[in-house]
This record gives sequence, structure tokens and C-alpha cells, in this order.
Amino acid sequence: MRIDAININGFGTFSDRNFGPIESPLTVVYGPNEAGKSTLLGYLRQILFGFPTGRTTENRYRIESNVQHGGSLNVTMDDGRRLIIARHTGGAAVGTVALHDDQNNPIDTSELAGLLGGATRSVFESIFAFDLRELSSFNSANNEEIASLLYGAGMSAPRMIATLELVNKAKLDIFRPGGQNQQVAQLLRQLDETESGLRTVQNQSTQYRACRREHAETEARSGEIGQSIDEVQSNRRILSRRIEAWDTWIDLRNNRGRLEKIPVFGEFPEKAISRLEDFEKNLTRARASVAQVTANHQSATDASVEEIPYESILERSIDVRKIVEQRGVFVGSVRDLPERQGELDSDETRIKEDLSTLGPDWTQQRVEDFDVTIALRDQIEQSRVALEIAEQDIRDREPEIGRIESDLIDSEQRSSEFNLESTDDDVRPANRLQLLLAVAVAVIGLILAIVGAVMESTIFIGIGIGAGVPGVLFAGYLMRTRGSQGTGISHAERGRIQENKRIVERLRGQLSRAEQAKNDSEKKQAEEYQTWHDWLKRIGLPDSLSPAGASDFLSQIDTTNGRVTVAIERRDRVLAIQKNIDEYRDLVTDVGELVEIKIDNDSVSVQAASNEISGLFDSATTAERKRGEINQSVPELATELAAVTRDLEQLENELAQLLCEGGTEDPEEFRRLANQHLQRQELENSEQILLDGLRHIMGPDYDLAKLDSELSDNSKDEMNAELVSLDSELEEMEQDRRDLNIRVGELNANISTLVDDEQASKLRAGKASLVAVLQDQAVDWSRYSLAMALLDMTRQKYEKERQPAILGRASGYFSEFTGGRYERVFSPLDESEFHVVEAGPTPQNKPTTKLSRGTLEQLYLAMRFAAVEEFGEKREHLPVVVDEVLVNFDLERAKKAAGAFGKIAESNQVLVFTCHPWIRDLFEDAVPGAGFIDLDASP
Amino acid sequence: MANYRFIHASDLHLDSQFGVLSAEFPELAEILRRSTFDTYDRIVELCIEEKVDALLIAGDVFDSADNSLAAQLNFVSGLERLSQHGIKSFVCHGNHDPLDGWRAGLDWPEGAYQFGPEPHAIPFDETDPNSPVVTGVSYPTQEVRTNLVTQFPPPASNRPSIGLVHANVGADTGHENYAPCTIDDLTTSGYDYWALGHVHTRRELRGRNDGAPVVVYPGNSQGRHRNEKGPRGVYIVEMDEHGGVTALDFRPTDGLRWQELECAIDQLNTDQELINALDEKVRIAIDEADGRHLVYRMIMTGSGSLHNSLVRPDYTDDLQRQLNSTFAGLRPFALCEKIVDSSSTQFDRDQLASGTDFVADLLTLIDQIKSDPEQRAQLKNRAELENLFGHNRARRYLKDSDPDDSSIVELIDEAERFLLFNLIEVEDE
Repeated sequence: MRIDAININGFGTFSDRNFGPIESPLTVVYGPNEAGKSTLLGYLRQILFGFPTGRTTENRYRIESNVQHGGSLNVTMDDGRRLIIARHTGGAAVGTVALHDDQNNPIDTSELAGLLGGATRSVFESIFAFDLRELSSFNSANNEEIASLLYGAGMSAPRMIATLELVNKAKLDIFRPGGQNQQVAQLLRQLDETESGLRTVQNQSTQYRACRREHAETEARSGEIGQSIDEVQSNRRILSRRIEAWDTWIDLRNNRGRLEKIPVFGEFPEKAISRLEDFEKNLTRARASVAQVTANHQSATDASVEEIPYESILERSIDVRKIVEQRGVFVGSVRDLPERQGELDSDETRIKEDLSTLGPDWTQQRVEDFDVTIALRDQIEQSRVALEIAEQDIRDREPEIGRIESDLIDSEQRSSEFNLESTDDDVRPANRLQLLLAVAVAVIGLILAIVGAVMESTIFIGIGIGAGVPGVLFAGYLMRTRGSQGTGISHAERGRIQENKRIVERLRGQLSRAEQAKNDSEKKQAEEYQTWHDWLKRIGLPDSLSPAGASDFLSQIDTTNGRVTVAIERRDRVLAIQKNIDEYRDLVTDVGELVEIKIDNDSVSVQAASNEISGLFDSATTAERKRGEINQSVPELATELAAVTRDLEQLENELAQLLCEGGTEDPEEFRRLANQHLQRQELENSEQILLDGLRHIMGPDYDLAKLDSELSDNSKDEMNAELVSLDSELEEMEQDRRDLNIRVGELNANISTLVDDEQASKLRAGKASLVAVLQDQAVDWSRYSLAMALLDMTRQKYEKERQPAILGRASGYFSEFTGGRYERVFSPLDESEFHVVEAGPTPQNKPTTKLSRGTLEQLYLAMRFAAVEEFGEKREHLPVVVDEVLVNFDLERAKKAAGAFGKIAESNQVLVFTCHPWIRDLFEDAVPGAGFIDLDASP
Repeated sequence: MANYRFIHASDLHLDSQFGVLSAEFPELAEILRRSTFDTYDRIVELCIEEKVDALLIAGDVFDSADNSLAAQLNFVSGLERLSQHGIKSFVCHGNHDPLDGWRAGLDWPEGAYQFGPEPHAIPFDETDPNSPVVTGVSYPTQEVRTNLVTQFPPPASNRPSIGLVHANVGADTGHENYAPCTIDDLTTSGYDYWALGHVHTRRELRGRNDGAPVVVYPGNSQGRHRNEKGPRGVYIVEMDEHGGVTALDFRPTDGLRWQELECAIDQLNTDQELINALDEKVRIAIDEADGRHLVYRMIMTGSGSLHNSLVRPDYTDDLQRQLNSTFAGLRPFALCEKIVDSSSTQFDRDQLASGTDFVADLLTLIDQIKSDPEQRAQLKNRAELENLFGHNRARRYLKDSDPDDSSIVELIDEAERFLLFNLIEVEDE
């Protein structure tokens, strides 16, 4: 692309200013300070890439708000197309761009980026359009876009460096030779600790084997000592038994000495002395028995012939038993008799009273004969009911009669009212009421009189008569008065009076019928009464009794009859008691005479006699029994006497036999011999006991003869001393055995500990885990180390073989600018700075920071030229616009640079802004055909 | 015809400890710690359940370097149980438990035979003239570099014969070359069955159908680290009275299994999808472990947007914690010991490598190094790996993990993924 013409409006100092046509490949735009060079540079950037947005500090060059800000460029593309690129304020912050072809046909604005070869604003400003300040601040390595241009797509040095750092860090985190804090170093420390722990438990098997061996040996030794202990203990036991046997053995020796002094007996009766003494004791006893039995026999013979006082009473034993047995009954009868008699008297008095109540013709016999049956009582009840029904019937007729009479009175009163008004032929109501009252009183009086008559009550009769007679008299008076009154009916009322008369007639008929019915009932009642009175007469009761009275009367008969029965029983009992008393007294009197007892007629005397008789009878009975017993014992005693005499003789014979066995007839000699025999036996027994004692002490199998010789050879003291020595020997051996057993226990514990110990296993597990981690870490570290090595190798190769072409070009320009002083520029991959190589026999690398300002600007200009060429080859040849970039160059290098611009201008349009005439001249000299624009010249 | 049955086990390594980072789960640490014992108990139980005639153990009962008393006590205790059930046990010792390493001096029960330093023959049953005869030999010390198999006497011709030895058959087993011998030494020996130990990975060098002898490494009975993945156990062998192997069954005895699980991220777009996918993988693995505890390493593979999260160590740490909070508390548990990211971005590596920029140069360099052992060695030197692996305190722990050439290639791939992630700006970020 090259710019053919520039239109600029409302931009800095420019207002609707046109430049062009610009035809030379290189055009120097000359103008003094403030002529608008920087404005023009900014204008070109902004038309192509947009007005600066709010965030940048870039100058917007706006001067007038009312003038449209912007302008247009006429350009020719590399392919020859001619276009107009216009941009004005409005729309987006970057302004509104418009594209047209040379026929003024609009072109889609999105093509603008393609027209610019894909360059961004920053690429354009860094490489194509820059001023002096921007020239020296050029730092491609910090701008990824530029870097991308320098090193090729897809690769950026910072990423490689970051990767390098990442890998290195990861690697060094794991392991660093000599390092102490890396993961491997830490693991190795832990492993050292584990190994150290393992070393302490490593000999477990050997220890176990040693423990087992020592255990077996110790147990064997313990067994041997145990055997020795058993032997010594056995000896000690025998020795201590000998010591224990010593006293017994001494006794035995003495016993044997005494035995030797007593003669040896052949046969001698066993238990001779006790038997002798028994015989003597038994003889004494037998002799005493004979004497006693003889005396008893004599006294029994004497007693069998003695007399008994009142012996005759024994023949009346039955009567005496009766007297004794009936004594209590007699005493009770004597006490009861008066009381029973009193009761009987009282009963008879009451009966008499009852009979007088029943009536004069009622005797005790009649009462006893009168049978009060249930049938009788039923009959009374039936009569009572029949009478009540008849009476009720009469009472039931009366209200009807009363009602009819009341109606009749009303009707008759109405008739009399008619008569009063005219002829007043009706009875007055007052008179009629009086009549009704008089009739009622008469009827009631009559009824009461009848009831009083039936119940034999004078009060009822009196009241009845007192009421009935005046009632009848008054009624008769009223009737007469009524009949005498005259009648007369008015003509006007005649119909009504006639009607009323018919009613009165009918009522009078009804009254007559009702009264007739009542009379029938009263007749029936009279009949019932007659029947009742007839029945009373028939059964023998007073005929004045009402049914209720008849019931009470029967009850009275029943009560009296009961009393009569009781009185008869009491009378029989009193007679019986009296008879008992008399019989008993007679018996006592009879028996009493036999034993000379006198009896008075009173019961006390009878009772005393009775007691005396029974006492005499008992005495006689006892004496008779005793005499019988004695009579029986006399022959028995005679037999017993014979027996004891025989026993005595037997004993005397046996004693003689015993003495004979002892070889003597003298009991005293027998006794002496027996004692001697006994002594010998005792000594022999003692010897046996002592021997048993020795056997008990020494054991049943011990040879006592041997013991005898052993004890004969030693004193007790000697043996005691030997025992002490054995004890001490035993104590030592026991101690040894205890020590060995303790050791066995320790060894058992050690063995158990070793068997159960899992520490070694756990430590080895821990170690295995640590080793696994270590091995994993080693693999990771290896991978990182290899990655590092690969990166490093690639970098070396890359830095040597793969510096971008752009740096090769830059090297050429830089060498040219510096007159061959520097031969190369390159970009180390792990640094952000470029390095230059100073020419010479041994080329020297130098970072750009060590270059002078002018040389550095020459390097950056060289790199821009290289980038411009590189960009143009791949994309579009964009115009190069520089503002005072050569001012720090010395003249020689400035000339060379101007020449280089001339070369660049062969492919890319170059616009050089300067205010220095010498630079203008420099370009005029160095670039033939260079164009020239003077900003001060009028448009 | 009488048949004889025995269990062939080896490399119990009793009481040897695992390198699992289980500090967060102390209860698991206890299970892990006891797992070799538990496995041995299971073998004894299996012998009793199956009513076998004998248990044959081909060396490395425990690690004598550990000098574990518990290992020796537990082992003899198991032999006593077998003895009580009338089951014989025949034990030879290898480089980890040589005869001079049995320091506890325990008495072996009746019917339990420990082979000495010279080959010696012992029949299953003294009273049965047809019962198999076991000929075995133990390492007197750890370092036995001579061929023990050729020292075995010829077997009795009329009886079934079993050779019991801890040996390295062929030189390429990946194990120390102790008691080396060749497969020819074994096939020409005249024995019917070679019960071998030493190689931890189960191998039937000659199977039942390969003709006599049958030559078997049962492998260790319990995997002990992530390189001992998958089922581990013993063989139940049935032999007729002529020495013909009539049955050869592998029986897993591991109570805790090591696994490597893979999860591809290609179809996963969100963290939640990733977590769900991982959960699913672990659940399947738990089901397949058939009631065993599981210690697994999760390898993230494939390429996708989640790669950018996975390359961050704190992200994979969080994922690991998340998985363990879900599964490590279960019984049986499933413990994630590590999440390894082998996933990649969606870059076109070829395209990147064909450029002219730094990344292209890096990828070109990596390709050159990977294809040139000499350059790999140079890279290894330049990375100064020796600083750590030769470190005077660290080297004894790292001697087995000093990366060999193939590990270096893997590490270079991991380094490349890491570098690309950091060097390239991701487009859709």
C-alpha cells in the first residue's frame, strides 16, 4: 500500500488540508517545529486504525467541535487497486470508517484489516509509523504480537521460559543435590529414622532362638535342682522322723527292761480281778435278795387274814352307785320345783281371764275342742267380701240419683220461673235444695243406723237415728209444702213450659228407676247379712259379730287354746320332779340305815347322808381289793424265794471255779497273782503301742531293727545338728531353683513379647510406603529432569539454527549502519533482551543494555527494517512513516541509514518527517528522486 | 489306580511389606500389612479343604533380610495345622530364605520336611510304595549361582517323581539369576513334575499336554506391588501312580489384588462425566476381583479436553481422593494408589512437528532421541539422573526403579505431554 494523497480536516492545525499527489517512493516532509509533523503522523495512524478511545493518552488532535473531525487517504494497494479510506467522528469511539474504490463504489469496511495485511495498531505503530521516542522504546520481546512476528506463529519465548521455570521448580522441589528441604531429602530422613527403628528390632529371630534355648536349659537345670531337693527333703524327712521317734524309742527301751523282771504266765483267767470283784459283788447282792424275799413272804401271809369295816355295804353296790349318780339330779330337782310350780300357777290365772273374755259359756274344754281351721277363716273372708260388694253397690247408686235429682230440680225451677212470671207454677230452687239436703241426711242417717246395727256399734246407730229421723221429717214437710202450691202458665210461654214439663216427667221417671235399683241393692245387702248371721250361729259363734269381729274372736280362741296346752305340760312336769325327790330320799334312807346313818326329812340331810354313804362304800371297796391282791401274792413270793436261794448257790460255785482256774482257793492269793499278770499284760501292750508309735512316725515299711541300731549309734543332739545342716542345704537349693524359675518367667515373657511384637512388621510396612513414595518421586523427578534436558537441547539448537529470518535481516542492516562494527543480533530464548555480536576474531556477545543510545537506536531501526521487509513479504507493503529518527545518529551512520531508507523505499513507501535541514539534505543526497513536501508552504 | 494330589506354591514372602501409600487409611494399612499371612492361611485352608496329600513350597517362604520372627512363627504354625490334618509338607529354600536365614530355630512338626543343601528324596508316604517321591534342595546361603538341577539324582524309575527347587530357568525371567538352569536340564532329568519357585509370574513352562515333565512356576501367592498385577495363587496338581499329571489347576489365593485400570477420556467432557466413568471402571474391577481387596493404578488414556485438567497434579490428586473416599472405605476395599495421566491433547502431533517453530524443533528432537539409543544415553546424562539414582543415601531404595532404556522412552513421552501442554496455547481456551 502506498499513500497517493492525504485529505485532512479538523485535525490539529490542519483544516481541510490536502497533500498530494505523493508520487516519490521516499518523500521528506519538512517543517519547522509545530508545523504539524507529529499531527500528520498521528493522523495517518488514526485514519487507518481508528481514533484513540477514552482509555489511551494518545493525542486526539481535535480542534473545533463544529468542524467534522477526520479525513481521507487515497491509496494504491500492492495489487494495484486504488481506494479511498475515509474516517470521521461519529458512531463508535474509533470513528466511522468508509471505503470506496476509485469509482466511488463503497466497499465493505470489514476488508480494511485485510488491506492492512492483518497488522494491528500496535504492530503498525511499532514497526511502520514511529517517532524518535518510540524508536528507542522498541522492545519486541515484551510484546507478544511483535514477538510472534519475530519468532513465528505458535511460539512465544515467554511461554517457553515460563515452562522452563515451571519444570525447573517442579524438579527442584523434589530433589536437589545437597539440598536439605526437598521432598526426597525429607523422605530420606524419614527412611533413616525407620531404618534406625528397624535395627533395634532386627535381631528378633536370633533373640527368640536364644531365649528358647536358654529357656530349655534353665528349665532343665531347674528340674535337676528339683530332683536334688527331693532327695535332700527325703533324707531330711527320715532324719526328722528319727528325732521325733527318739522319745518313744527311749520309752520302749525302758518298757522292755521292766518286762524282763516279771515272770511269764501260762494260762490265767481273763479279766481275773474284775471277775473276782464281780463275783463278790453279786454274792453280796444275792444274799440280800434272799433276806428281803423271806421278809416279804411273811408280811403277806399276815395281811391276808385282816377284817373290813361295814363290809355289808359292798352287797348294796348297785344302790350305792345309783345314790352317787342321781345325787346331782336330786339337788337340781329340789332347786327347780318352786319355780316350776309358780309358772304353772301363772298360766292357770291367764287361762281363766281368757275364758271370761270369750264369754260365760266358754270353758277350757270348749276352747280345746274348738277347731280353728283355715276353711273357717276362708268362709269369714268370703262373707266379708260379699257384704262389702253389696254395700258398694248401694254407694254406687247414690251419685246417679243425686245427678237426676239435680237435673230435676233445675227443670222444675225453670217451670216455677215460668209460673212466677205468670202463674208461677214451679218449685223454687231454694225449696228444692232443702228437700234434696233433707233426703240426703235421712238416707245417710239410715245407712249409719244399719251399719251400727250390723257392727253392734251404738255410736253408729245413734248418729244414724239422730240424722235420719229429722231428715225424714223435714223432707216430708217440704213435700207437703210443695204439693200445696198452685200452678198457672202464661200463654206466651206455654210451648216452652210444656217442653220443660216433658223433661221433668222424664227425669222423674229416671229418678224413680234409680231409686228402685237402689232399693234392690239394699235388699240384697240385707240378704247377705242374714246369711252371715245364720253361719255364725251354725258354728257356735256369737251372731252379732261382723266378719272382722269374727276373725278377732277366732284369734282369741287360738291364743287361749295355746295357753291351755302349755299349762297341761307344766303340770305334768311339776308332778314328775316331786316324784324323783321322794324316790331318792327313800333310797338314801334305806341304805343309810345299813351303815348306821340317821337322816332328817330335809334335802340337806339327804344330801349329806348320800356323801357319807359313798365315802364308806369306797373305803370298803379299796380294803376288799387290797386283801385280794395280798392273797394272790403269797404263793408268788414263795416261788421267788426259792429262785433267789438257787441263784446264790450258783454264784458260790462259779467263784470257786474261778479261783481254781487261778491256781488257788484263796481269793487274796488269786488277787495278787492276777495283779502280776495284769502288769505284764500292760507292759506288753505298752511295748506294742510304742512300736506302733514308731511305725507311725517312721512309716509302716521302715525297718525298726535298723532304727534301733541307728538310734543306738546317735544322740538326739547329733541328729538335730544334722537336721539344721540339711535345712540350710535345702534353703540354698530352693533359692537356686527360685532364681531359675524367675528366669524362666522372664524368658517366657520375652518370648511372648517377641511372638506378639508387630513393631518390626509395622516399621517395614512404613519403610515400604516411604520407599514407594520415594520411587514415585524419583520417577517424577526423572520426568522433569528429562523435560528440562529436552527443553535445553531444543533451545540450544533453536538459538543456533532457528533464529528467525527477521533477525538475520536486522543483523545485515545493523552491520551496515555500524559500518561492520557489529555482525549479528539474536534473541536468546530465556531472556527478554536481544544480544548483539561484536565483530572480531573472537565475536563477543553483548546485551543491548550495554549499547550506547545511538547504537541502540540503530539496532532498533535495523530490526524495524527487517520487520518491514518480513511483513511485506508475507502480507502487504505498508508505508513507513518516521519522525526524526536519525537525530542521535552520527553523520556517517545517518548517511548509511538514509541509504537504507532508500532501499526500503524500493518496496515500501517512505515518509520521513524532519525539522532539520541537514537531514532533508542528507536524504536528498542519499536517495535520488526523493520527494519533498514543505509543510510551511501554502496548500 | 491311586491318585495323589498336592498343592504347589512358592514365593510366599511372608511378612514382606507393600509400598502402598495408605497413611490416610490406617485400617487398610493393617490389612495390607497382614496380607501375606492371610494368603498363607488361605493356602493351608485350601490344603485341608481339598484334602491334598501334601503341600510343596518351592522357596522364598519369607525374606530373611527382614529377619521376621512373625513370618517364621506363622509359617511353622501353618505346618502344624497341616500336620494335624495328616497333610505332609515339603519345603525347599531359595535366595530369600536360605538355610542360614532361619534364625528363630523353630521345631518343625511331624510330617513337615525341610530340604537341606544337598538334593535329597523323601516319599509322600513311607508306607505306600507307589506314592510320589519329592526330591528337593535348599539354598545354604543366598548366593547360589550354580546349577542345582543338574545335581539332582535320577529319580526312582518305578515311582512318581517330583523335583522341588528354587531356580531361574532361562536367563530372561526378569529375576536374579540364582541357581540358573535350562529347560533342557529339566526335560532330560527324568522327573515327572518340576515344582519350581523364584519367578513371581505364573508360568507353565511345560503344560500337561506338553509331555513329561510338567514344569511350573506357580508365581507368588500374593501380589506385593503394582508390577505384580492380576490373580496370584497356587497349583493343585493331581498325579497318578505312574507320575502322569492328570490335573493341573491354578487356584488364586491372593486376598488383595493389584490391578492397572484404564480410562479413556475421548468421550468425556466434564469433570462429572470423568468421575462417573472412573466410578464405573472401579466398580467393574471390584466385581471382577471376586471379594478380594483391590489396589489399583488408574491410567488415563485417550485424548480430549479433560487432558488439560489431568496434567495438573493437584487435579489427579483430587480425583484420587475422590475415588478413595468412595471405595477405600468399603470391605473389600478398592484403593487407588495413583492416577497416572497418559492422555494427550487434541493436537495433531505430526502437524506440530512439521512446523518451523520451537515446538516443532522440540518434537523433532524427541523423535530423534527416541529412535537413537545413543542420543537417549546422552539425554539421560544431560538430565543428570545419576544425581538421584546414584545418590549415596537414596540409591539403595531406587536400585530397582533406576529407569532402564524402555522406561526412559516412557518418561520422554510423559515429558513431551507435559511440555506440549505448557508450551502450546490451547485454541479453545
